[in-house]
Amino acid sequence: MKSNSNNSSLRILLRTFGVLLLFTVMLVNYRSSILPYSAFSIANAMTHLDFEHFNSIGLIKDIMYFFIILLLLHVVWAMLITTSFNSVKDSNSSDLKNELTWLLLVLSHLTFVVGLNSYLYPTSITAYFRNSFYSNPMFLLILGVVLLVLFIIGVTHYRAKNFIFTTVLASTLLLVYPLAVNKGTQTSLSKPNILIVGVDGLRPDHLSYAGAPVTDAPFINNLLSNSYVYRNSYSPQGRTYVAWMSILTGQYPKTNGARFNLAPPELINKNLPIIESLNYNDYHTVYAMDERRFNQIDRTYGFSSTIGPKIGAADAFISSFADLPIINTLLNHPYSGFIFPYLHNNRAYGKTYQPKLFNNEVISSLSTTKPNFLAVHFCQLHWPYTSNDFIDNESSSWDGNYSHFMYKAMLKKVDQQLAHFFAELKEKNYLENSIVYLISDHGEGFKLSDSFNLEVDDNAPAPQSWGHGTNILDQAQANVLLARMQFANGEVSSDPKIIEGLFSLIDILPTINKQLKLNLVSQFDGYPLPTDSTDFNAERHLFVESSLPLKAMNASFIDEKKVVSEVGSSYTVRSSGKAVMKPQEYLSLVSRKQRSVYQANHQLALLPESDSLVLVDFANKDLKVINDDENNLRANKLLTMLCQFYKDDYGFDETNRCLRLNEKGGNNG
Amino acid sequence: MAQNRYKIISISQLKIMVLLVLIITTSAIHFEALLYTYQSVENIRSENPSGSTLAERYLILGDWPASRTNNLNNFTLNYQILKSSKEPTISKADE
Repeated sequence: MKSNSNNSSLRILLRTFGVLLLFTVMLVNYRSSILPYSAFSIANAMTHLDFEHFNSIGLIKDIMYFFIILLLLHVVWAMLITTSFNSVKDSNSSDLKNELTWLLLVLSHLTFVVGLNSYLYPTSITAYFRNSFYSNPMFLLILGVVLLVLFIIGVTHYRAKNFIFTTVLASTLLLVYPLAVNKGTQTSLSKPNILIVGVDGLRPDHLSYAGAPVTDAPFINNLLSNSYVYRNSYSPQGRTYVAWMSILTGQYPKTNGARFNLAPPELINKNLPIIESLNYNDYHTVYAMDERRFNQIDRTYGFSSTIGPKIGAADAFISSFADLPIINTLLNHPYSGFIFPYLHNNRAYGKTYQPKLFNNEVISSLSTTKPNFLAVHFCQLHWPYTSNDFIDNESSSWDGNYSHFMYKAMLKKVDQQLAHFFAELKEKNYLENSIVYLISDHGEGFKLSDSFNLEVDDNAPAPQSWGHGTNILDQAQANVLLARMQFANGEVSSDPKIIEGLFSLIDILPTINKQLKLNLVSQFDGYPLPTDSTDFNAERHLFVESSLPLKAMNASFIDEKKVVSEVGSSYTVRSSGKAVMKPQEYLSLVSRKQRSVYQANHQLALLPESDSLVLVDFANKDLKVINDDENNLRANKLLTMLCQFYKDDYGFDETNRCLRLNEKGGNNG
Repeated sequence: MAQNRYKIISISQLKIMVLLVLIITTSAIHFEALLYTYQSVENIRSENPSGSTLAERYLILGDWPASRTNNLNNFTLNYQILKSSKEPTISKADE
């Protein structure tokens, strides 16, 4: 009799598992019928992966792990339903009635999970109950309570019910614990916290100090109105990883070796003297980022702790495939970082990303007893501008430019995220004695006609492009936010000031070195940031280089096939599962870089793809190509600087402009 | 006795009928929602592979263009993506 009962339960379990799996397969197919591109396509456009890369053991392991977890979730879900079925199963009734009761129970579970997904994440494709009664919180609460009661009653039908109750109770407490725990506040310390807060792609011309409405980003604008703001600041390269490596080394990419987001790690020195020194000086060092496709920085760079999704090529595939109610509804529990490391706190999986949750996780990683060095980067402003609750309906501000419209909508969301982040820092006493740098890693090109309005020669290269790091002539890509402020007793204590001059992200580290008297032995390319415009060095020059100026990336809509065909063969996936540039391709890709130098109101750029030298005069709003036979003193002076800095860089100046300049200089005496 | 037996069978059948109705209703709710979602997509789908409206472009990029207060149709009519080649007079063109 007992054996029959066990067999019956097993049969129900297997049958339930089968139905749940069938439902998932149906949802995957349904999703495919709605989306014009495959699960593999969209994300791959940005990570340059193709099917050939699926021979990496690390990538295969990560994807296998994802599918095994997905199967296990279905097993656990089937066990819950099977247990609940015990409470409504009637052994005196006909088989048909019991079968129908079981089916109704399964459907109720499916309705609950889809309804919950629709309420929590309306931008999920599988949230097909969005804006309906079945995603109403009251309906979900009632249905949820009914299903829970059925489960509890179902447990009482087991012989080992005490054991099962204890297990369920312990599991529940374990699940609730991280949600209820409060780490406390930071104790008063003599050494200041150092916070570098980065906002991906934040364009200064969208902030009020550069003329934009305050309401576009009210919190950030208010913070900046109490800060030192360095008006003309540039990123050494408009790419996230490269920019952050420049921040953390105080060096140009050419000096520190980090020339591309996915540069081979063996070519980069991961020993960051600043982190080593801060760790030695009893600082707790944290690096946090909510999107890791374009940034390799992890604990191997010396940080005490890192926060954010796992780094790896599987990110592209998993985040494209994962949109299922059973996964989404679990994702914002802290433990989901273990079972879905590529999805938890991943802003690239925008439909479930919760900005406040990421903030809380970053803040809970800080030390309450030691001073903290926190480098945190927020990526909501990065393509593809997705979020868990879409945007407000503001058709009056629609200008036909999709990316720019979405960018402005996401700017409001990232502003709210920063407001929450700083409020939480203040509440936990992390702003009692802190030095804060607020920066962006690059801008973003949208081909807006009213930004940097330049007179351009007919034969000149295009001064604007889409994206970032793709065109050094596009000032919207290289121009960044650079501001610093001192917090004391939770409030900004520094004097508000707009500081004129020419500055770069490489100036942050020399400033920290000076402020904390660390005496780092590194050779910096940057200089300590001044606190007054009178310290402005008019002779200062800065270098800015491009990443790869890809044609396929220079579009408002990125076509995956074009991107892969243009550069896909230059990338590989290592056995660790990480996508990197092929070392044998690295030098040829370096040679394709655009390089430029800024000084005062001028920029001189050398563009290998068109073999042209371009001089931009910002004072006179003029952009022109410098011909070989032209003797332009300004251009010659800037070219000399460019030649001196990049002279030993692979592929630089293949047409020997530097040599001709030297000869010209010699002939002129 | 016969009447009693008839009554028991009827209750049992009634229960089965109720269960069947609930199952069919719940299934229909799912199918109706799935169908509505599919038809909404068909209504906004254009021949442009990169999408012609904000809603279509967002959908193509993998997410559903709706919030708890707005739905997909709110982002189609007044949200046409402009093309610089076709609209040379519009300054802030998208492509």
